[in-house]
Amino acid sequence: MRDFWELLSLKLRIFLNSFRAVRHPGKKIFFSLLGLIFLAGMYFWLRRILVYLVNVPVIGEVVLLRFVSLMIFISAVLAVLSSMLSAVSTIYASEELRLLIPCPVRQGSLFAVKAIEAAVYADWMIVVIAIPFAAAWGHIYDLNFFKFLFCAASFFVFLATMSATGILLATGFAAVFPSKKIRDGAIVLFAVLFGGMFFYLKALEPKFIFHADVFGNLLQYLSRLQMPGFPLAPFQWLSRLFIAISSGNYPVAATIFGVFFLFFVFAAAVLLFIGGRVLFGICGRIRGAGVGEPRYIKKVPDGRLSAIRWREKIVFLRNSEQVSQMAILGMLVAIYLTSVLKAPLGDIPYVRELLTFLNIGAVGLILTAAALRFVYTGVCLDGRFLWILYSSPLACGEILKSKFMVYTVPFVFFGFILGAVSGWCFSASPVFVFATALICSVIGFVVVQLAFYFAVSYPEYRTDNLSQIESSYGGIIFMVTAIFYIAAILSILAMPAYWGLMGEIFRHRAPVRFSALLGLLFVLTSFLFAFLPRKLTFGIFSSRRHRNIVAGRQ
Amino acid sequence: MIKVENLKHSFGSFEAVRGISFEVSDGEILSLIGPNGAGKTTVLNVLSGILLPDSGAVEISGTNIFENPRKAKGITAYIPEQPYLWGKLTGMEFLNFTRRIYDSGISDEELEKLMSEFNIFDWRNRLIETYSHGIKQKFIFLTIPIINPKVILLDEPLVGLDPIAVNLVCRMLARFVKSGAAILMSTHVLSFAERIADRVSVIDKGKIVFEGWIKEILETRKSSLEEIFLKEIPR
Repeated sequence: MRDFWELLSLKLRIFLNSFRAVRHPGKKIFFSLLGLIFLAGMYFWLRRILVYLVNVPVIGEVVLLRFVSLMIFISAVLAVLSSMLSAVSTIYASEELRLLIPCPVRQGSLFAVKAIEAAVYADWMIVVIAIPFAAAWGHIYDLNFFKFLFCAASFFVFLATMSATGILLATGFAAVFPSKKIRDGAIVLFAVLFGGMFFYLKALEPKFIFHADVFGNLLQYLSRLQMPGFPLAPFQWLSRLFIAISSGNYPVAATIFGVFFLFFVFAAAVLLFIGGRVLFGICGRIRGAGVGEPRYIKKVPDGRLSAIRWREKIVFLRNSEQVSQMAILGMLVAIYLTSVLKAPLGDIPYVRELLTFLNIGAVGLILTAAALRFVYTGVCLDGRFLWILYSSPLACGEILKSKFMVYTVPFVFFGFILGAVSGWCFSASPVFVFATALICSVIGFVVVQLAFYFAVSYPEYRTDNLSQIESSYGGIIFMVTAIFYIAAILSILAMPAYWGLMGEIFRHRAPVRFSALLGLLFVLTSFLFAFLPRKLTFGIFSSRRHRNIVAGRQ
Repeated sequence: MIKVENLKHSFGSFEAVRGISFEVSDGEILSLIGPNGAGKTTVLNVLSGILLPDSGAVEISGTNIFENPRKAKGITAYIPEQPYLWGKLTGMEFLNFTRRIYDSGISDEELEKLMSEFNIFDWRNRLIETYSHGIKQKFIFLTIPIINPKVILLDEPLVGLDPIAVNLVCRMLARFVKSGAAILMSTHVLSFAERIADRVSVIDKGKIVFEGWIKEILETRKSSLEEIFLKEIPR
């Protein structure tokens, strides 16, 4: 146990030391406030939804249970998948193990500490997002401190169990497949898990919650709602546990919590038993495997800038982690589009236009997540190699422009296609489809510029742990800022979209000047969120401070 | 020729280089020696264009590196201590990339001959992420004939190299010196500095504390670089 505490305190010291090197405190305070505003916004939004659901006569509690189950289910899937990814980069591909493995510490302790680290990287975002939800829940049920603590402990144990499962799965993959094949195998597993999630979402049938009109009478609706999708699934229990704690039904709550805790102890014991025994072997095999001959070798194109773009593309495409992430993204997009296509919208035309408009937000979130995963991490992963470009006869502007182009063009294209296809799936009018596709391509452009800005402003150049890069301060603030931008443009465009809709249905004349003004505001907002960060990125990239960081000195 | 005047560089409040001046003539090798953290790598990073100094002037073959960086960098080769290379490129792709960036006229045959000499020909089509430190260092050394520089900057050039490679590096550097290149290198291997350098500068705490000709130190003073090092650096 002494080894375990020593290693854990080492990790804590490293974490605390990262706060000592705080640069630009004013900037950090500003963006932290932005993050707090975002969380507050989420709280008010969730509170409205929960208040609405709980006040629905007769069926309110049951619908709430379903809704909470859905939220917990999504958290569970995210925890398992993130833990798998995090375990691969934090445990098995960790550079740190080169230093720690030769140390006279017990394998089990080392594995336990690395597993905790992987789980923290995987879960902390879920915990942050759960805070406004918990606050909203507490507001509705008027929870006292004890009840709140009980709910938090239950969620913590649940999340830890899911993470242990994810790390165990990653360990299995790492043990079976050496080297890069872990990731290839992970792609398949991710696909299956995501497919399973989609299946289960269908099993939960959230459309029945919101479409009571498809049932003949209320009794049918109630019995459908009360019918458990998967009665043995742990997230169903957790939602029942929350309800039991909130309503003061302690015997039931204690029983479910006890079962949960036993599950957690079992999962953690299995993980530590297996992980502690196979860690050294897996790490040795991963490092020793592969002759490293790429499948294809392409000629470097003529011209300096073409050579830079070629290098960016080839390094990206040969990174199997990035490719597997693209596969996951593709799977998510496919699920999203299928859901859109199969959505029970009826024949009311304006609903389709309305959903096409709201769809801009969903596409924006997909683009933001993709920019975090590919652009932000891509820039950070390239940081330690910038010495080659800085010492070459290339101007900083040339290097950056080439990098921008490599990422911007696919994102603008991806945004346009995603906006157009999802609009088409909603069977919206061609004008609406084109307009949303155009707006989505603008979002694609903006999020790339933001990702570059935050990557060079808060660089994570000395790590190749993707989970660590994504969950760094810059990554989080990038996400918050991008979501802020998407919310801003949706607010600006809401009125023109409404007038456009009224014009199509009732032949009302839209106030042209005001619509044009709001359209101009959209352009200006996008310009501000794209070109200001872009200009700042150029300044930072050629600054002394950034060069010091590239040289490994801050 | 390298001309450095009153160069200063700091990292935050830490002054790494405090007003250093020196010159390296064409066809000459100057060796920078000094304890860890003395500022040697910082000087080389500024000269290679990676870092921007607080103040001071640097000329590479008569070109001010801060006023005309493209021209100055185009005739400078830099070999860093840590060979960070893109792991997802092959060695051959990295060299070809360097050829494009520097508009090099070196032929495939010449490059292949050099790879064979350095015993890395069989590695050329494997991903760099599978290379050892020494193999990476050898590939970086091959950028020197690609760039065909007038100035060569070397930061701890021997780290990770086998004795055969050290010999090859010495021969390569001698060839470039003969053709008029100026070489500035930092090293902790004092015997290597004695073997190939013409002059030596000892740096401590960001300042040059001793300068001298190697020949003069070895023959007239009957001293060695190690003795000079131990004498000049206060413990």
